[in-house]
Formats: sequence, structure tokens, C-alpha cells
Amino acid sequence: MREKLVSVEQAAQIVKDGDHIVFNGSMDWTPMAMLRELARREIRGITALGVVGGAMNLDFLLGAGVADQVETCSLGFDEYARVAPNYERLQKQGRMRMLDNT
Amino acid sequence: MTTGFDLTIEEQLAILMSREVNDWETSACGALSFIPATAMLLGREMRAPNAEIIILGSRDYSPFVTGKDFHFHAQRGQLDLFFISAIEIDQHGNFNLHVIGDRDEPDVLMPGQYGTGMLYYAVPRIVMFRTEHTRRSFVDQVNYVSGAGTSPNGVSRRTREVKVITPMAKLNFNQESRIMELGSVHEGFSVDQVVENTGFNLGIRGEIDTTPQITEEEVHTLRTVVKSHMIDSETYPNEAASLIREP
Amino acid sequence: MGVPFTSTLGYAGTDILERRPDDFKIIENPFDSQERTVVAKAMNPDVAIFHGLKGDRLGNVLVQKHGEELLLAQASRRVIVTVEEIVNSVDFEDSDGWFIPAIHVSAVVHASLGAHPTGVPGLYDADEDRINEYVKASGTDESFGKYLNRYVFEVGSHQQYLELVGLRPELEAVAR
Repeated sequence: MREKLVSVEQAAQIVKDGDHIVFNGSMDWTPMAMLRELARREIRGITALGVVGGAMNLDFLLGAGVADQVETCSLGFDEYARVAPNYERLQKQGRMRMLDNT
Repeated sequence: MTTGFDLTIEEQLAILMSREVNDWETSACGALSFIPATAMLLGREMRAPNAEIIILGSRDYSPFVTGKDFHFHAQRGQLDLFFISAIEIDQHGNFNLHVIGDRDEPDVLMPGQYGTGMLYYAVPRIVMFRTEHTRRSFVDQVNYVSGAGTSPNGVSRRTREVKVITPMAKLNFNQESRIMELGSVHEGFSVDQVVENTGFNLGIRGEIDTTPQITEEEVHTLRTVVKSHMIDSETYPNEAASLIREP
Repeated sequence: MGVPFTSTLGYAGTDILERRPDDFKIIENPFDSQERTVVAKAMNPDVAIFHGLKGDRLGNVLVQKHGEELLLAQASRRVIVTVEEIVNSVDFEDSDGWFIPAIHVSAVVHASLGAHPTGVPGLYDADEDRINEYVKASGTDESFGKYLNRYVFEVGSHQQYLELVGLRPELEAVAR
């Protein structure tokens, strides 16, 4: 059977510029090791989707310039901030697009 | 404000909203919703011992396995009453939970509405509330329509009753004319005051009722039974301790 | 589900639908011409990425119990799962989490403390100081640029990141 255990660098090759990437909604369990690798590789043009809701996952990708578009119904930051901080900064400057969902 | 009780705004709103909770029905509020949570618990004590209460994010009143189950429950028509607060509400029954200013370059940005727009379609009775009754809250047309008061022709929804409760007054959404109207003014306030602080035309014709007075029993129950239960069950315990007064 | 769209409740009359005409439309109910319904275009993400507890070489993983991971994995063309530990074989009955079979997973990556600075319930708490540091750094382009340099660009691997933040994973990639 196929071996699927790979390094973070190898797994990151799966992601291409412009891809739509989906994440689970909570602050816990954010796949930070992988997100940092995507940032390191300077992947661009990603649309990041948060189901249901988003937090550090979407916000980090926005801040790192990896995502320029996000889709979710709510982008807060638990008790740390009312609105996800990079989202707030970049949206107020008109530098990203949010696809609101209900 | 009702004399003698020295109510906080949160207490006043919770009491008035508690009257909307019916026995044997399922009532719900979202996360970060201290006032409606209090209202539902008070409503259960006062008149609705068999009410099913859902307080998302709470320890004891959040019965679903995953987050989306609550929304599916609502979509299937299993909720009877839902509480909503928003940054703006307009005369057409629309509400705004997203931005002030341009959506793509806003002045004020909120995290989003976490399904509230859908719930506005799915739940037959909606009670909106606001801790201030001001022209910036009650506007002619919301900056961004997060939830629509009226659906375009033919698109069905379950909504049949929409009320708004503020520290000054109670508004009702007229289901025929599709416009917000003044239902009653609370004791201590005048119709003129309400009109002056509302950013749209309330279209007042004739006498306006006074909201039934807040009673000693409501206040006492809130400040004893409900307050201690909220602290014990860790349902917004800090807010209960600081925003609900001592009996 | 392999279908182009699904009927959905809500949306009609909102700015959400107004701003996304390519994703949401209002159509006549094919079974009742008096009624109209909102339909939402099917979402087919290119990649799903999440972090879980355990994984094995074949790609079976154990993720959190009450999340959406299985649904997201099934909807996406490729799935990457980073995991706290690699085991010989992930047990379908393992009550620590929720089993996702290898057929839904493209790549498994070993990354102990892979959620840091966020937490993994039951294993490690969120690093509140570091998250607050992140929030503070997000204030300007310049400060977040410095943050990225420190934690991303000047760090070559997840292992080096852990050394930088002074953490040693308790678990090693030992086959059980």
C-alpha cells in the first residue's frame, strides 16, 4: 500500500498558488507548522475558507500575504481580540477580499 | 426607568425579553449573549418551566455535539425563538452585523454573523434587542444587510413575528406593511423621546401603549434565583455577578 | 456529493448574496412554481489542511472528536494532516479522537507541537503570551514583517521553530 508519511516540505508541494484551502473553524488545533511552511515558501493568491468560522488559521495566512481572499461566516480571535487582527488591519485598508457567508 | 428597583440596563432588558419565552418552546441565543441568556433563564423561572433553553458556548445549555448541529436544528424548524443583537437595525427589519462604511474598506469591522442571517429566516419568532436606543442604532437603511427583513418574492421563510426591545421602547415589525412600528413605550419615557432617538419614521398613529410595568417578582427572581444559578452553572458568571444587582 | 449546487435557507435579500452573484442565485423551486429558493454553488476546495493527534504511514489519522475534519477531507481534492505523533497503526476504535481512513488523506506529516502557539486540548494549552504577541505584532505591516522574520523566515524548519520558542516535544516518532 502507498506510504503517505512525508516531510512538511514535501506536503507543502501539494499547495499551488491560487488554490482554495479549507480549514476547521477553531483556534485550537491550528496547523501552524504547515502554515509557517506555506509562508516560508511565499505561496500566493490563496483563498482560505474557514468551516465553521475562522481564527488564527485564516488570519495568519492573510498576515503572511499567502491569502488575499478569505471566506467564512465569522473571523474573530477568541478572547484575544474581537476581530482577527490581520483581517481587521488589511480589510480596513482595502487590501483583501472577504467573501461573507451567512 | 422603573422606579425603586435601580435596574441596570442589562437587568431591564433581560426582564422585558424574558416575557417572550413561552412554555414548552425551544428558545436560543448565540455565543457572547449574556442578556438573552439571562432572559431565557428568568423566563423559565417566571412562566415557562418546560422551556428548552439553548445558550451556545455555555457549559450546561449547549446540547449539540458540533457547532453546525445547532444551525441544522434551526434549519429543520426546531427552534421557536431566537434573540439577535446587531450594530444597526432599519425600518425594513434589516440588520447589520458586518461593517460601518464600505464593505471592502470599512471604518468599523465586526467579526461576522455566524449564521444569524440564516436564523432570521429559519426561526418563526425573533426578538432583537439593543442596549441603547439611538439614531445610530436605528437607521433608515442599514450600511450592510447581514439579515434581511423581507425576502424577495416567493423565497419562503418561517419568520412570523419580529420584535425589538430597547431601554426605551418595544418595536414590532408589521408583517403586512413590512415596516417597523412603535409597539409600546416603557414607563419613564415619552413617545417624543423615542421618536427623537430613532433614525427612521415610526409612523405613529393614535395612542401608544405603555409597556407593562416591571414587577417586584420579576426583579426579585432575577436577582436571587437566576443570578445564583448563572454563577453556579458558570453561565456568564462574571457578567451575572457584576451586572445583576443584589436583591 | 458531486452535484453542482444545493438549495439553502436564508441569504435572499442580504448584501451577502448581492455581493456574490457567482456563488448564490435565486431560482424557481422545480417542484413548486410558486416558490423560489436560494441555491449555493458547490464548494470544492483544492486542499484541506488540519492538525490531528495521530497518524500512521498508510495515512490513517486520528483527529479531534467534535470537529468538521471528515467532512472537509471528503470535500477536498487533496488533504494534508499534520499529527502530534506517528504510530504503527491508527486504531479505528481509538476513543481519544475521530478516525479518518487513509483513503481521504493525501499526506501525513509528523509535527509534534504542530499547533503551537495555539493549543491541542488534552495535550498542551495555547501559549497565551505568544498569541498576544501575535495580536500586538499584527498592528502594522512593519511589526508583522518583523514577526514573520523571527518565526518564519529566519527559521528553517518546525524543529528549529520549537528550539526558538524553547520547547522540546515530549513525544518522538516511535512506532508503537
